[in-house]
Amino acid sequence: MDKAILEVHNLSRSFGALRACDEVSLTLKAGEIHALIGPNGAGKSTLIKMLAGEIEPDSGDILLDGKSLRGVPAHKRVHQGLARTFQVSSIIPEYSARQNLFLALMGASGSPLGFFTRTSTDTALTKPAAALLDEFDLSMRADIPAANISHGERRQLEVALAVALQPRVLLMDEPMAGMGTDGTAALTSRLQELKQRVPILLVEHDMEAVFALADTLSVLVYGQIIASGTAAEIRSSRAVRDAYLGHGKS
Amino acid sequence: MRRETLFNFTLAGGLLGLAIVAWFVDEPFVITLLTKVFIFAIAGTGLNLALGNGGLVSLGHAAFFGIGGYAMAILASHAQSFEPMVIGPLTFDGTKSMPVIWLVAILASAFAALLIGLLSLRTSGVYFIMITLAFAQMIYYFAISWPAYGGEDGISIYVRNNFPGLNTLDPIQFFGLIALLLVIVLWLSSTLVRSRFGVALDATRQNAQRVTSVGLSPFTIRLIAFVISGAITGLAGALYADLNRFVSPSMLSWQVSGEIMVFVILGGVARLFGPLAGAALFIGMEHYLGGISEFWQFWLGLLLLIVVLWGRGGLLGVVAGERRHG
Repeated sequence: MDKAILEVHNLSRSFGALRACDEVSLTLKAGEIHALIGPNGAGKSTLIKMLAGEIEPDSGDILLDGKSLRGVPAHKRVHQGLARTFQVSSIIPEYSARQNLFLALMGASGSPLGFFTRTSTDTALTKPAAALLDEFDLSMRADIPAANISHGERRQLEVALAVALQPRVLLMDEPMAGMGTDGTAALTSRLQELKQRVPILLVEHDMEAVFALADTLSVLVYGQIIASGTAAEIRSSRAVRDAYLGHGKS
Repeated sequence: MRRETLFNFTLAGGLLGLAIVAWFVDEPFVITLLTKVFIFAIAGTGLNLALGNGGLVSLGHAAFFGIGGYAMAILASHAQSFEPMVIGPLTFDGTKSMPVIWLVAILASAFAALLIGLLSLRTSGVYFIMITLAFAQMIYYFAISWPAYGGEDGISIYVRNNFPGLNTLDPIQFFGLIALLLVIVLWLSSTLVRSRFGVALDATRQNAQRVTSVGLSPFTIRLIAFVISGAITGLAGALYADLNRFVSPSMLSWQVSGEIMVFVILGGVARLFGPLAGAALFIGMEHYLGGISEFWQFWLGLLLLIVVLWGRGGLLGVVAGERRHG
């Protein structure tokens, strides 16, 4: 298979006596969705935060295209190609979807700070923003404050913002959270398409979606990866059943 | 036309008209009062960029106002006493030229804002308020104990500084100059707010996490805003010193920071003409209520209370009939 784009080596992080992440290693290859599953408090969010640069690991390393991200601040990791979505939609509430996309495109362009050109007439922003709104079915609701669009639309916008950054790797923290069945199905097929362009590290609780989407799964329990493999391998793993699937929904 | 735009034109037109009427009926005091309003409006517009658009509640803008004032006084005092300023091996004659003084005031206050911003923008909320206040107080006490430039007594400049082609001692000409500067500052402010930088700044106020996650540094954006904000307020300080032909540490006192903040809140946070409306109302009340009662500040306090409790968009918010963030 293709070479690894994102490599995580022995990443650890403790909060006091709690080892939230314990020697976690995984790889993400081009064209794949690698799902990270595990019960609540297993350390999934901590791992995502470390990858995004929001918290520093105690030890271990993260390589993006073979280059270490150690000490690189969160906003610079985005320029190196690491984009993320949040479990709870993180949008600019007073901005419309279009303006939210302007912001993302400014970040993506690498030269974010113009002082004299109006953003609303800046074709370097308006054109790609219109294309993204179209792609994510947000055109009809593009110009009302993002605080007033529906939950499902905000989830779409959240993904659109990450895609606008043209990332090398996409980290998605529970993109299906709070979505209805229809929304989940729509997002599932969207991610299926998206993974051709950019590999995705997916943290998700919706098992149906995970097994439909993931090429590789890793199971995180108490900060440790107890199993890693294809959907079929994980389904049949005894350890996983005991630790996780046996207690929850499947 | 939107009601707010209409109000803005009425307000600016009304104040300009008042100045012209005062000029015709020979009431220089009214012109001077209006000049003061416009200078405070410039100072408030500076603060509004940080406070309104950036959500940075600075209680230390007197530092920049005072630094602008002292930049003017130091340059002009050397020029009027014909004693060159000596900095190491270099000597300067000082200057009475307004454009040069403005440039120095802007650069000096921008530099101060850079240093203060670098340290204080690592904090937020109440801590940011306190640390900006602390820096301003440090500069205030430094000015008091600096005998070379008047210490507690301040510095008097006998003749107002020069601007090419104008008699700046004529109140209406000086007023016209200040009005022109206010227009430039308002234009700059409205341009910035609509630019990429302005979009990023307002986004940082609303959700810094999102700004980081699209690859922008909230700290850098806030720092740039703070520097521009300080520079504009510094320019206002130089103008205020020139209006009074006098500078003293009281320009650096925390009450001045509070007053500038009151202009912004009274007029309307994050609204272009908010500081002008607020300054006009404040100076108007100070003058006319001050003539009626010694306790005019009681009525100001009451008004401020009403604005904060019910009209959180300030005077302009009430006029526009819509609420922005508060």
